[in-house]
Amino acid sequence: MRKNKMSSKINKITIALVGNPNSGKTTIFNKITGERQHVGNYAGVTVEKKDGYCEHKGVNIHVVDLPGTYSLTAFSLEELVARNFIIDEKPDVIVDILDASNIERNLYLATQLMELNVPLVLALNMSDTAKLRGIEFDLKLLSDLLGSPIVTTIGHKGKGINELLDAVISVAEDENRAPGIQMNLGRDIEKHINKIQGLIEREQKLTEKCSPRWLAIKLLENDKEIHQENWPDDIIQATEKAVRRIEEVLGDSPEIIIADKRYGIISGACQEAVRLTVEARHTYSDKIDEVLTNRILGLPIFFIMMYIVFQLTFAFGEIPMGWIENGFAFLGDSISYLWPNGSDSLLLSLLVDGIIGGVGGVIVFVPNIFLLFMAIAILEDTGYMARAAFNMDRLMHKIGLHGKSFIPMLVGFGCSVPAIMATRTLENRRDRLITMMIVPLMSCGARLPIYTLIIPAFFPQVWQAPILWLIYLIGIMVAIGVAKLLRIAVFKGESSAFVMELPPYRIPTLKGVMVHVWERTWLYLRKAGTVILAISIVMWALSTFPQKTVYDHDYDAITEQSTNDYLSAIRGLNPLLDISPQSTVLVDALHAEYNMIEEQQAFHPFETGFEMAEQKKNKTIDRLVQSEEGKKLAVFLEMIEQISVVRNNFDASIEQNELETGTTKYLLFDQEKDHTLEAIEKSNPVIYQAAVKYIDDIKSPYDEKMSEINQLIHSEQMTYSIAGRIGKGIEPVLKPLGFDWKIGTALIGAFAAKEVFVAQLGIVYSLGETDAKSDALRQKLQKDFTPLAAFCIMIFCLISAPCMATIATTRQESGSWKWAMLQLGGLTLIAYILTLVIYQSGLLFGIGI
Amino acid sequence: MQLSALNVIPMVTPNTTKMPLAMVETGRVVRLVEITAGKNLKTRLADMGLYPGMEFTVIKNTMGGPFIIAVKESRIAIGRGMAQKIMVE
Repeated sequence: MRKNKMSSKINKITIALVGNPNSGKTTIFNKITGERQHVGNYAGVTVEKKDGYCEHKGVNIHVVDLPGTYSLTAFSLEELVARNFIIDEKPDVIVDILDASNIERNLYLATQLMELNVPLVLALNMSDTAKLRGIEFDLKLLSDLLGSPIVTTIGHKGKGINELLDAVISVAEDENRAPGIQMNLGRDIEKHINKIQGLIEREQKLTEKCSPRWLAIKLLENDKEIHQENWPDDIIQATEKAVRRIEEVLGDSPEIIIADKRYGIISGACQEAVRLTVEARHTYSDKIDEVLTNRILGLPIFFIMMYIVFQLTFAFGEIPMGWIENGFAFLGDSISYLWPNGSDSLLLSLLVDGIIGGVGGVIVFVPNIFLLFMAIAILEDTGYMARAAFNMDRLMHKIGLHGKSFIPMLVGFGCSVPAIMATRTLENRRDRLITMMIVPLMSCGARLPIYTLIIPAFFPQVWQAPILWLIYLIGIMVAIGVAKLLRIAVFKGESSAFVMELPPYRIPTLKGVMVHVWERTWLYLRKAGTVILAISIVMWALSTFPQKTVYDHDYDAITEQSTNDYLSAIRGLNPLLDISPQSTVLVDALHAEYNMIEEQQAFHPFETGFEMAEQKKNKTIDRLVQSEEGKKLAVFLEMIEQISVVRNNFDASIEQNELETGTTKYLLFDQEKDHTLEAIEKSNPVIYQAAVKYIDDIKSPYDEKMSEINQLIHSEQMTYSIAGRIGKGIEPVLKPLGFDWKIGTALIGAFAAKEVFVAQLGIVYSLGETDAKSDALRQKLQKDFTPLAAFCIMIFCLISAPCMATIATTRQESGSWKWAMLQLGGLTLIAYILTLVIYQSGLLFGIGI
Repeated sequence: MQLSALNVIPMVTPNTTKMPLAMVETGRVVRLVEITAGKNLKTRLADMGLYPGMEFTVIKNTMGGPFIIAVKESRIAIGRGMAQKIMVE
């Protein structure tokens, strides 16, 4: 936008904020832009891009917050991103935020910006803290020495922001900006710079973007990125010669000498313009560090902190998650009321199971993400995060990870989605990507139902806890292996040294924390959320289409046959009730009830049709009761009703109190039930017998048969669908692992969300709705699998393809599908190989078969 | 206007000996002599204010664990492996 330079009055500028980590850059950014900001990633890389807008004195200012860096070398992606933005986008003004208490180190970045010869404004931030520490600045002199305007600011109080923007605008408006101050790097270096610079100046194409002097310095510094440019041979040769000469004469490589010179210049300027009135004291931060990084206390404090973070995120998060789940269930029900009851409309299924289910699946993570990032923001803003990394470094370093990787990994035991988002706390791209890749190996909460279903079915009580423990342990071991593998294979040669600044402790501001939390949550909803929703709909379609219209069995005929059997069995009760064998009152009465239920299925309870069906039944019963044998019928019906009520009450209280069979409390309820039933029996023992016979021997088997038919239809549909076909199709591949097509189909369901595995398995086994406690499903599994195969199922579920929400989040956080696909494919491959090895060696050695 | 590097005269007694940072006790003030590591690492340390000739205080030297040093007003944590490569006097 420097095109506007010709007019003295400008109305639109772009500025870039740069600065060291912990210099308070983000606070200044938040103060300048307020709520008008936007977070994303730089195209194709894992570096976060933040920008926002503000208006100052009639000028629209576009503010870009560049990543916090110490320097502008090409060693880290963050530095490269910052540098490329400055060179390629040519912002009108660069604002370098300096931590006033630590001016010398912070000015190092400023010297590099001066080399680039860009319009620069320096913000001396946290000047209040510096003053407290007895640091005094001669601003006028410092500004003259550095050749850039300097403004003092106090970021968290918002002081100096207006002055800063004034300075920015006046720099932007300055048409004839004098070339910045040229730093003299010493005669030994300067003569080489001049020579190379002279050669570069001839190459017009290369000097369009940045100054020849800067290019010459970067060539001498052996900057990877700059060396990649297409340089003519004479420049390359001259550079190589100069590098050799400098190494000979000065005894170190040029980049070290140049860094040294830059610090020399800073030190010179600071000796003149900065005065330390009080000797640096043992600050409060060091005192807090005495405790928090203490050899003995450090780790326990860290683990307590982590426990709080985990509890806050998951235990506390469960409450709003419940509301969200109920809310979406209610929404689904409300929408289904628009259709006739039991309607199998495709649109309804898409709306309720596909879209509402999918959106619900996205939103349900919001409480976790919100709370986790609140905890992380507090840990970071106080400065504790760096200490946490410091404490954990010894342990994490052994497994090839950064101390800060611990938090995402811990959170991974709850859920991978917030865990992968939490990798943002890792500044280094390599550490971040490795952590992201291994987070799904921390067995998340959604995988627990799979284990709780399988373990009790196959392993004796004493082995159950160790097996569960072993599964978690295998996950961690595989994670360590994958981390090492990635470090060797993908990120080889990148330095893994631990150097990290420990920022001073500060009290976080509510606004700072909330801005951070809001950014993360919004980013999740907008980016990961849309992908999760799209995959949800695809998963819905996979298990819905193609629809089966002709079933393998004639279920209508089976239903009719069963109903007829049911009615004739009822007639068999006539002698028991002392009703003449030819009488149809009993059959008519129960048939009327059957018809009512049948008719009601087409209506919702609040519709008139529902009530009309009941009235119709009541009329029939009333008529029948009027008849000769009606009195016995009335007693019989009343008896059935009473017995059912007593039994239902008993079941309800057992479930409500979560009582196990055989416990004292259970027996108490059981006794009470028996007493009540005895009382009912005494009133009319003969009819009581008939009623019990009806409920236990006629009605229950019939109801079971009906639900079995329903489940068979469901199961046939699932087998016929694409998901079922894929399950069958991959059976040959899964066979060596000990799995059959049913497991294959359930695994496809597990990609939607791990806990779906159990429900999907229930459907393919024609068991209808099942959960992790379903004994019926356990029995079926016991018939089909050995303990070895069951163990393999759990291992495969643990390691293979993380759920789609995880993949979508990895895609969002890594900035490319490449990493998401590597995660999906790589982990599935590892799962396959490991399960294969376990199963085949189990077979070979005869373990668990 | 030109700025040039000042020749800062090191104020260290001449009979001090060179040793790795890993051996320095808590509380001592030392001067960085050289870093026996690759260029990348050297540059990274220089970016954080750790370059030959500068003085710093060892705030914490935990046995077997990482270090904390005070470089001017900032506190920097350094892994033990790296502390072996930083020569001070």
